[in-house]
Amino acid sequence: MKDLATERTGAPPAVHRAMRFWERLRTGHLTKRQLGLLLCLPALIMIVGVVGYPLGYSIYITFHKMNFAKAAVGPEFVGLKNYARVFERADFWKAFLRSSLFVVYDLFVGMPLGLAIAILLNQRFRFRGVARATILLPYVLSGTVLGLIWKWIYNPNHGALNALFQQLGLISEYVAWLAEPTRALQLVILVNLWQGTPWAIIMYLAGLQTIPTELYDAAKVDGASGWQTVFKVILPLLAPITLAMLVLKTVWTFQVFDIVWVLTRGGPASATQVVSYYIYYLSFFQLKFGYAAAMSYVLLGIVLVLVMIYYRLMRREVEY
Amino acid sequence: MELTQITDIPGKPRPGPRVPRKLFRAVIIYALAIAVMVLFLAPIAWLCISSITPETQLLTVPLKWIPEQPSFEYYRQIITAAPKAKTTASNFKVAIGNSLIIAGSVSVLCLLVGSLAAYAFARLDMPFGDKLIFLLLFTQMIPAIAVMIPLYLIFSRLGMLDRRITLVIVYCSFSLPFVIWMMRGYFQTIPSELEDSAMIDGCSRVGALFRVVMPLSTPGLFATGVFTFLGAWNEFLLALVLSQSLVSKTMPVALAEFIGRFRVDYGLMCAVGVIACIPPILFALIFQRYLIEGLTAGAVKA
Repeated sequence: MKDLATERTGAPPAVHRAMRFWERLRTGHLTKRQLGLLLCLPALIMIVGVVGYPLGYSIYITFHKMNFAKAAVGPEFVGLKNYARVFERADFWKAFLRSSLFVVYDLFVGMPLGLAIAILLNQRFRFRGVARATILLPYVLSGTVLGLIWKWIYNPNHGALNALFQQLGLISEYVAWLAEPTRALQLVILVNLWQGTPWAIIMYLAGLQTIPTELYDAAKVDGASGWQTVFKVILPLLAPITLAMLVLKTVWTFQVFDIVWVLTRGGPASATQVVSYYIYYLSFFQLKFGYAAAMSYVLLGIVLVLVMIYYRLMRREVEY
Repeated sequence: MELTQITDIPGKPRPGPRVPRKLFRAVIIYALAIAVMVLFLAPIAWLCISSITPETQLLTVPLKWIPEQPSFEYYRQIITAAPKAKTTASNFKVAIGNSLIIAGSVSVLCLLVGSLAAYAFARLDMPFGDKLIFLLLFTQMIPAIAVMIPLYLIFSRLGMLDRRITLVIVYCSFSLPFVIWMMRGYFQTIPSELEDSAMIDGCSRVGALFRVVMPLSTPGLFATGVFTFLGAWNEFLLALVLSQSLVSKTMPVALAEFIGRFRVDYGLMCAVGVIACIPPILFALIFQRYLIEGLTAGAVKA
């Protein structure tokens, strides 16, 4: 068998090389590079198999009507139809806008708030360690549990929010918080902010610790007020980390799924159908795999463009 | 005398002399810090309180915030449930077990496979080493939703849906780039002379990695391991897609399913929520420093 193969392909050098490689592997005399490749192999196989290959396979899906429910028919080639539909119809863009609203709140409310709290927790006071540990908690908990916590708080009949507001005299009757579309969206965004801000705090705290204390002292000697120190010293120095955070935050917020799933399942009347949820809904409730995959590719493209823009900005920032 | 008395009244700052201003500042800082802590702790605390309140008290209007007779009935139900009983409590017990097994296997496998690759990137001159590592980091940006559909189709064709091993492989592959990036950073901080001397003493390179480099990078291994564990423990979307029954269903999926039901036993639900919080909170408190290190790695230049 082996001889036949070598004869036909004329591959003795390759076979020899493989045998030499095996010999070296056995005796432990690999070159640095060979050993490096060998050590990387398991990781690369896993990443290519579970991330790379599915991404490629997904391209195939986007060009087909999968007919998943009708196994006998099988996939049917439809060309660019799925992509055309993404751009023609409003449904994807509506979901995309909703997700963008999440991003806007995250970037323009969550991150400034995170910075403010980080500056606060960077002051010297007793129990500072406890306070810092506290803000870690929402970050490490799963979105499902956070969704559960807030769903229970927002509960229309027995929820803590209703009880609190009534006992404070703010409302006279219990309110079904998540039943009204606009308010439901706002309340889900609020949960997303509550979950996401701690990350910003932690990042900014780490960033603040890289600023040498001499700079604060120098600012003080020069007669700068507290606000001036914040805007003239701290903010410019935190610009690089802020840019990095913008990228990550944007990418992550487009993926928000679990809190929406638990809190509203996209409702009421699709008011909280964010883009990840919508893609899931199309795939597994309507079995429109091709259309949904095309959407996920468009989303991926948008995310990559954003990442590239930020990356450019970051490079320029680093240069000077 | 009078002067000091005035300055000692908190919350009544007066402009002027230095001491009151300092006090004013301190009061503001403490007030704000407490406000921040309440903001982030109160919802979690309410979950804990709800889980030990008997249902009759939990559902009263107006609500009493502190239970008169706290009861650990729900926890008892979950802990003593027989796995095969098919009750809600037993289902949760099975799901929690699945989550523990999956998250544990993911962190061990990931650290092993990831460290090998990280070592190659740190020490052995890899072709396109820098470019490859950036490509790896780039895969971290890919939304899970983009591979959700193909993964589902691929694993359904392989007959591997609804198996724990599938989730382990998937989570591991998704965490590997991060693990490689983190561990490469740690390995680079270890002087290569240490390995060289181990190798002179007759150790092979892989032997030196396991006997010298890895033990010295324990903090890094911890930080990274905790991260991958938490990632797997908390992940929802892919678990929802790839698991169908209690054979592989993880805790978040079981929890979400339970919340979606029409008639919900709130107390039991909260107890499960608390149990789901235990590993993350323990990790957050014990490995606080490592966690922050892992979180900010790469983004902050030290």
